[in-house]
Amino acid sequence: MANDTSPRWDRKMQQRLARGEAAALGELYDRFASLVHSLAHRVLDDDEAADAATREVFSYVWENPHAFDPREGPMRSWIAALTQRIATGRLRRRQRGHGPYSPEQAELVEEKVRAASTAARADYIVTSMPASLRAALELAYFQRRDYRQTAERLGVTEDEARRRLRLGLQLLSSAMTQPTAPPPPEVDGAGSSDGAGSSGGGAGSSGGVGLSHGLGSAHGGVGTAHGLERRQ
Amino acid sequence: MPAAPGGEPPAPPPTPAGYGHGAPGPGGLDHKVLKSLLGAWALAACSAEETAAVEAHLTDCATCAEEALRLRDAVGLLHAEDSLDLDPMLRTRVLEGCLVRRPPRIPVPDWAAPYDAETARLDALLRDMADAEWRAPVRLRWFDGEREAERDTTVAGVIGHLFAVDGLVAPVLGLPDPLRHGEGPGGPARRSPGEARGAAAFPGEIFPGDVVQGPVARTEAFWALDPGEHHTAAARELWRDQGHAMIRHVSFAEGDTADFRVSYGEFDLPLHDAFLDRAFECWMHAEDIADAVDYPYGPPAAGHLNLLVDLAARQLPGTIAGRRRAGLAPPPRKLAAAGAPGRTLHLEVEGSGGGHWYIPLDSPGADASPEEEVAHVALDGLEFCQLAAGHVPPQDAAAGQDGDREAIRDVLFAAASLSRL
Repeated sequence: MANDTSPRWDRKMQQRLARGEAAALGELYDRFASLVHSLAHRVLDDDEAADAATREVFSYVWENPHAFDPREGPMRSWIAALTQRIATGRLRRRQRGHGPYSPEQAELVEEKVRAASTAARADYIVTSMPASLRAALELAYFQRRDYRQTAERLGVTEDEARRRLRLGLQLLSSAMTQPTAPPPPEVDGAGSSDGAGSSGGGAGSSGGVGLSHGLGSAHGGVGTAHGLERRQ
Repeated sequence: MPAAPGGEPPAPPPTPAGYGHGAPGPGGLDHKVLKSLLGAWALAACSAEETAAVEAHLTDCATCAEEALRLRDAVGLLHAEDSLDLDPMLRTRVLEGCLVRRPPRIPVPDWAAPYDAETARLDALLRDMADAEWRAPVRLRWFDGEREAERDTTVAGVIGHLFAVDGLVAPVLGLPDPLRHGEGPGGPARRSPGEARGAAAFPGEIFPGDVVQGPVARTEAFWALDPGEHHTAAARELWRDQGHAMIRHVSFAEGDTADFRVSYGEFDLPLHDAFLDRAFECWMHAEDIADAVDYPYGPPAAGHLNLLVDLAARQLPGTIAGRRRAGLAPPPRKLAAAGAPGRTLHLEVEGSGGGHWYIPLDSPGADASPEEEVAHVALDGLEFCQLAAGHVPPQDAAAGQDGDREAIRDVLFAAASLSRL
């Protein structure tokens, strides 16, 4: 279930959501809730806050299905980027809620937000990389096997084991590449607007573009990874 | 987050000029091999000699040093996956919140909501299941009308069972019957339009008839299809896709479905009740699975639980009558005219989702009325459901009982008899 849905599935889902089909919303939740919740939890480190962020993400998608642009990438990465945006927005507000606010503190908050974003991006990359790379990292890191043992366990050559470990880490390291733009406008305002049914507007679509950019690095990395998987 | 194994990342090395990239390093390894080792090195997954060779190389080669640093930092981003379970009740809250803010043009009917919620809850339980857990033994238990019955299968077998029996409902909505001759899992798409019945998509031709009727026959047929396959996780996707399709179709069909009936072979149910029946089954089997793999599993939401108890309570008069016809229960005390008030049992179900039901005892057609109450049974909602699932023998149901013993016995046995494989 960790893999991307097909472009056809994504487009169909978008149409069904736009049509106001409650059953589609349920399917969307079933498909992505665990991703959304775990990313939000990685950023916010709190169950209740992650629940609230999850509500906000699905509300946003339900109310703004047209904000998703299939040309920018799969729905899964759009939702991951949206989650990250919403969760970091909430983290920022929570931090600011802690009283007086000097420029130094502001910088501290931003640092925290950046670290949380990186961690969430890394999680997303790990869940999105081909299972073969994930398995190699799992053996070498969590089970402390050396690459020769890893190769043996996976039934591949030592060369291939080295290649997978290096490639897996390369993908993961793209999480540390910060988006070059300054912190983008928060979408949480849009998500919690009371304008029920106000889909489409300028805010929605520009948000969509910005979001895909936010996860640009992971996007590219994961794209590469998928290409590799297909070859295997 | 566990600390990354290995020491501190190496300091960015100086880059003395004069070292060709192809020059063999100190360990006799060339740049290309050393570069390929960088991932393993960052993970502390190479031999001591290789580690030394890589580290010596890093002081000479700027590109490798830069990459080594990056990969070592990436290792710091790996961490054990949180075993945080998503609160299963969050789904209902999230969806409700969404639907308030933007009311759906095509809602899921209220009577299909428990099926939607219960299948999602079970699917969430299955999500992280390891292969070994799919093969975990599960004992299915029910009450066959006279005594307790049981059947052994696996977690995957349970999902196959749910899939096969849900398949009774699917054709009523215009979806393919997964067990229909020639329509293997995956539906009619797997055969060409002109293909005759003779060519089954399933291995072996085991369905000579058109439709395999009845939950038991369907389950046995599905299990027999491929004894290997139903022991794997493959059943999950079939079951899940069919469930999503059912919810979707029923949303679009809503207004027209009131008269639809689903045949279970020996009896049939209105479509709306069949969805409740399938929700109940899904919940009970989810509990069987949760027990088998030692996971906690809670009850459905109160509103849904109430609909499920109501379905069972409404089926009691017909079941009592059926037991009488089969000689399993004594004949009625008096023959009540249809529509006339008759002897009544007051069923009080306590706890969330509970309520009061008045069960006519003399005939399903008789009117129940509080004035004609001859017995009162009180029990907890979850207990009642366990009874109706055949998990608690009727004589052991810990019910508060008051009044006519025979009436109480008839009702408790009828409740247990609602269960089946």
